Amino acid sequence: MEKTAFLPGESGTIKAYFNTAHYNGSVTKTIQVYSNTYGGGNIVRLRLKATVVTDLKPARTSIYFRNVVPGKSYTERVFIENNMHKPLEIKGHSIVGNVNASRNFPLKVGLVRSKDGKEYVSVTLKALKNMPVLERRSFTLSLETNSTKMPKMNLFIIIKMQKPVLVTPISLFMFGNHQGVKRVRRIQLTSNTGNPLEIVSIHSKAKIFTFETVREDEKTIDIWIGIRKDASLGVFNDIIQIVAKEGKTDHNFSIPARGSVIK
Amino acid sequence: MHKKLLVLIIAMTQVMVMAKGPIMKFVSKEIDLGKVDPGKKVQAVFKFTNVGDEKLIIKSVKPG
Repeated sequence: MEKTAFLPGESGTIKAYFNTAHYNGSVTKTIQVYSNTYGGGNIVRLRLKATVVTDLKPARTSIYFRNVVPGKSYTERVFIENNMHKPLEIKGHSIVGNVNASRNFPLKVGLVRSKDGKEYVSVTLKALKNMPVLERRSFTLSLETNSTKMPKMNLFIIIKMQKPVLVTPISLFMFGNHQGVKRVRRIQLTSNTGNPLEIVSIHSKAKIFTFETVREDEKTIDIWIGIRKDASLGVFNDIIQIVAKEGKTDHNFSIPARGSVIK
Repeated sequence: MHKKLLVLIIAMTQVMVMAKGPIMKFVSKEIDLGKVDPGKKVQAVFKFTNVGDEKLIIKSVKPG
């Protein structure tokens, strides 16, 4: 707005702009106009409507890769609704925004045509073998298309990696007459990566627990928690610290153990 | 008689709607641009007239 004051009888215009990028379908934008009508502080709401028409419409805008394990490849397909009246072409692709997040995940992008002519973008992700395991990563994959209306089509990639070692349960509660009982509760550790699992150490602050390690198989180990014969009676609130070796990597786990020893 | 009453009613209505202070009257508060292309900057123009009897001052225009 260039002019802000209008005499009685005078007319003016308010111009509103909006960028249609990242919109698909109908969009409504509101504009608030503050003026001195009714003694000031009055607001008039204006509405701007538009229908963004794209000639390419992906069935979903994000791809979720779940339980990703280092060293493995995963492929996901996204159906693309094509209203271009010509076959879709993917000319290239790039990572937008958080480039670092995609560093350990080389991507291959392809186009798949089904027998009935449906077009799919296929994204193959490879998790590098010796990469650090990070719980969740996300970045935007930008595809160059042969569409004039949508020369760049963005797909949001979400990667959730599988925990290398699964520990169950995550906390222990022990209550009862357990003095001298060796197998009160069990903690199970499972390697999810296929690498062999080993227990490096088990510690707890209070000297009331006994630990017994039982190997189920190469990837699974059970730790039985017992109460020492000479454990003092009363309430305890402790943390059991476990260091496990999965392949060549050490992992630390802290499992809270609460309860009481009674007679 | 009927004519006089009608004139009176019209006169009264005129008094009731008589402008007090500035009044911002829009041609339309809603504009539908219809079908638009993606990735473009589109524009809408809202026209208004100050139909009040005092100077209208627009303090700000905000999205939202």
